[in-house]
Amino acid sequence: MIPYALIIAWLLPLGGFAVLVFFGRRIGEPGAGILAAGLMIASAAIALVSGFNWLGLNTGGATTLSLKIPWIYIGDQAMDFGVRVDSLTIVMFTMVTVVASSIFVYSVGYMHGDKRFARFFTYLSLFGFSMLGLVLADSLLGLFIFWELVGVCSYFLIGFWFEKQSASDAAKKAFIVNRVGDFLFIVGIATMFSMTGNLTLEGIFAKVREGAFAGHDTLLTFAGICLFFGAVGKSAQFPLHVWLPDAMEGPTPVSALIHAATMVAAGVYLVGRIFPILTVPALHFIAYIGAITLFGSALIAIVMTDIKRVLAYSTISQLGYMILSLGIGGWVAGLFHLITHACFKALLFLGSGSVIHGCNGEQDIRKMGKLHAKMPITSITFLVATLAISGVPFLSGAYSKDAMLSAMLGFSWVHRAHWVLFLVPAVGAAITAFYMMRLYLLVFHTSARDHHVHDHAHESPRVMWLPLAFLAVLTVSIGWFGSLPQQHQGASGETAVAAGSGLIGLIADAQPQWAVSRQSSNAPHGDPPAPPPEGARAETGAASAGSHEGSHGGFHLAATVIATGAMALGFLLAFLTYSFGVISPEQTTRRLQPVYRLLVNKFYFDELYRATVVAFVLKLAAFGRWFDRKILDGIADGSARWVTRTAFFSGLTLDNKGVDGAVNGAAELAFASGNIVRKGQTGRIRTYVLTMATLVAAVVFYIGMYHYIY
Amino acid sequence: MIELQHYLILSAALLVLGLVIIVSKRNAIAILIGVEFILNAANLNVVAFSSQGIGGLDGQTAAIFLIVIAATEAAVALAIFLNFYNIIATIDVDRGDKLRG
Amino acid sequence: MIKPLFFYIFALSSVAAGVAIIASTNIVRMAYWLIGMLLSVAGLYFLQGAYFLGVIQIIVYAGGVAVLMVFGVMLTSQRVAAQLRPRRWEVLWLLVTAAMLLTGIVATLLDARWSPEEAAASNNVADFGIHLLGKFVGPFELASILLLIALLGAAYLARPKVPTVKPEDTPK
Repeated sequence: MIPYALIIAWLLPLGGFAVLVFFGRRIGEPGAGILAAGLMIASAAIALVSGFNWLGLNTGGATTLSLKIPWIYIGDQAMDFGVRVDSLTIVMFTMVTVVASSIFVYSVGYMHGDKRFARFFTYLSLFGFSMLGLVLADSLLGLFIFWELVGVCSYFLIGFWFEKQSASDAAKKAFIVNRVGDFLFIVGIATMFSMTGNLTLEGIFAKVREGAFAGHDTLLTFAGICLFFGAVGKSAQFPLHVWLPDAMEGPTPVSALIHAATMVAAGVYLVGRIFPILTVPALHFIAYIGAITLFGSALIAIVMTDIKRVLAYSTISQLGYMILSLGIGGWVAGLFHLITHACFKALLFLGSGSVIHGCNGEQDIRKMGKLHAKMPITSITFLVATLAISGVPFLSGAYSKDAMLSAMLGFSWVHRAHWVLFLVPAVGAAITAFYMMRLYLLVFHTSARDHHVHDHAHESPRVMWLPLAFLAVLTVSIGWFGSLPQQHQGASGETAVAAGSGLIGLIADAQPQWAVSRQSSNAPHGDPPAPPPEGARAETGAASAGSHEGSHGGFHLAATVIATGAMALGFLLAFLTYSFGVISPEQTTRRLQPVYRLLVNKFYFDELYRATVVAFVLKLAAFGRWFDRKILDGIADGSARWVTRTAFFSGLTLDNKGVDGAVNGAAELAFASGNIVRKGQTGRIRTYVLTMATLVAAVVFYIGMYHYIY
Repeated sequence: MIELQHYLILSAALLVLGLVIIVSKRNAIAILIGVEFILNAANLNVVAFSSQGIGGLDGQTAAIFLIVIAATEAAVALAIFLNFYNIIATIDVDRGDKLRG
Repeated sequence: MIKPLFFYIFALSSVAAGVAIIASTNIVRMAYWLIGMLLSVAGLYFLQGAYFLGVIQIIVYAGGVAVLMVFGVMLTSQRVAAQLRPRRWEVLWLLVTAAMLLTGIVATLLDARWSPEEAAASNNVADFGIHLLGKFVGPFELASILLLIALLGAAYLARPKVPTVKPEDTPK
């Protein structure tokens, strides 16, 4: 039943899209939003009911429900369009629908009065459908299709206010940067298909397990890294992270839904799904990419002054955490953080949207301040989210961050060479706490620096703060009562598994039972049914995140202490700097001028890309244009240009009227003759038809004469 | 006895005539006439096969659909030409070269 | 011997219509020649026993499409005999292409062999109707939708952008 229910829930936003795309403008201002939000809420309700059903039918251990319909036949091989439901799917599906519902409701208020109100909800509905399809897809092909669909929705929505040059530029940038990742993604898919002849995840895993890549370990690593690059693009990881901060040009609900909570998390989800085929070198690569990303972007977030950009860099940093966690084998912790992060980051973005809305479009935090009294609900919910992302105990963020840090600690404990993979996230936790508290203090407390903004600030309407309150409740409570499934050595020596509980337990149910990276260890080939043996996990550092047993209990405690300490340190610094004025930010900035400049310019990544990739592409384009002109306009035109240019040159240098006139006349003559040649060549449909017909006729003629010649 | 090949050769002749009309005429409506020639050539082809007992009645059915599509094509194309005429004030297709390189 | 005679009559007249169109510069005459070609092809259909198709050809094509074209001519060209001739190099190029295409196809045809099925298809209109609304009922319905869309699309495209006659000007 559950797959069918989820398919219905999945198709509801598509229905909304279909209605809105045709009748959106007629339905108009509140109607379109109410329709889209209503359908999304219905979808969320179905997802929640399915989730509880799932809990009822499944007590511990992994279960997968799948549903397939044959789709494309290639020879005798059917590509199925399938749906795969395990507990991770349920959790992701519910998360996406619930977060999306609250953001849809919020958008009804936020987009009030926009002249393309209905179109906004059309795109949002399409996005909802694509994202849910991405979650449900059971094959790499299905994943890729919806991957591209969410990408194109993102493009539409970043450039939603396309009258603004910066918005349309940002949309193009996001789209093009993502193409780089997607190209490698499809290379990875093709590699997988050629080696396993299969595209469903299960099929690929089975084939890899049977040894489809036997003796081709490097190829498997290559394929894994290629697939991972899809995630690098979507999740804005280190080399391809440049698009996400610019994507904040879109409306704030879009930033919240797509560029914080769901779509960018799809990369992490992908890594989680393909985890079993990732080899040890690929995992190391992933882990280091994650570490670089989380540290670099956290540093940039300190110096940003645009409220949404701070949050954007924070998002990149948190995604880096998840990627790093997956890379070191902390599968459960990484995906757990994905869910909790979705809640509090959506809340943060919606809060920032509420601030921007209340300040009439002001986004610069240097002009805000003392807004707590003006917008108390926004302030309190924002504070809740700030505390959660920083990792204050008993809020959801703390549970997931502790789980990740303990996994990282366990990993670097086993693999001493990779000690930096624990140090970086631990320091990152302090930085996170610092910049988030800085943001909160600068926006809602300290002094009112711009009275114009301050005087006009007002709390947002109810339709906007209700979602905030709802998400705040989720942010607080979503991590509670969680425990991982635990193994007990029974009296007779068999292993019994106690079911996990809470959200983390549910995610742990979906943890892959088998992975290439674990296979290389002492685990026997015919591989264990229930959660893999502890030894095997330690081998790859899959230090079963937050496992409460044996030596790992120690890691968890230590990680919690370190995380809390780092958080406290960050908060302390933030308070000292921005509340008590002990440390002057201006002085620090001046003293660390080179560092500051490096950070404000985001490590000069945009400049680097502009100087290398963009310049190269422009050169290539210029070359292509030149080539095109040569072919189309003919040599006569080209020579005319050359003569003109020479004429201008000599005319300028000689500055002689008589010579000048003569040379110009010659140039014009050449130019005109070039034009005559050009006129016969281009622009006319009949010429094109004739060219085409000639080519076809040549082929037909050849075929017809074939028998006579041979 | 008239064989299948006679019809097919006639069909080929009509096709080539249509092509020549399309390319040699600068009047948009004459181009449409050329297209009708080509469509009729195709129709003659399938009907000839059908009446010679190859493919049963499918050929004639295809011809019916072809006539329907030709009619729609003519209607829409003429509407487009009317617009073209309204905008450029001529029916000379060579004037519609705004996309020249 | 009457059948080959009619075949050659119709074949020659349709080809002649094409040649006449190519030679003509008058668009109205071209439209009339087109009707001639369409009628000849209809005759060929009758000759092959495809009576229904022949009737449709005359009604829809010669009656509808060609008249539509005449209307198009009247609505667009103010100077009826617009002298729009192709350029000479175009003609040359075109003739080479046409010759290549025709030789290619004819050479292929002369070389080809078909094996007719034992039972020639029934030319009964009733059978044809059953065929059209049985095996091909899906495409048939789609064609009706296509016609509807084309009707709306053509009407939309060809609508006057500026109302030429104001409502109050219309005579009572």
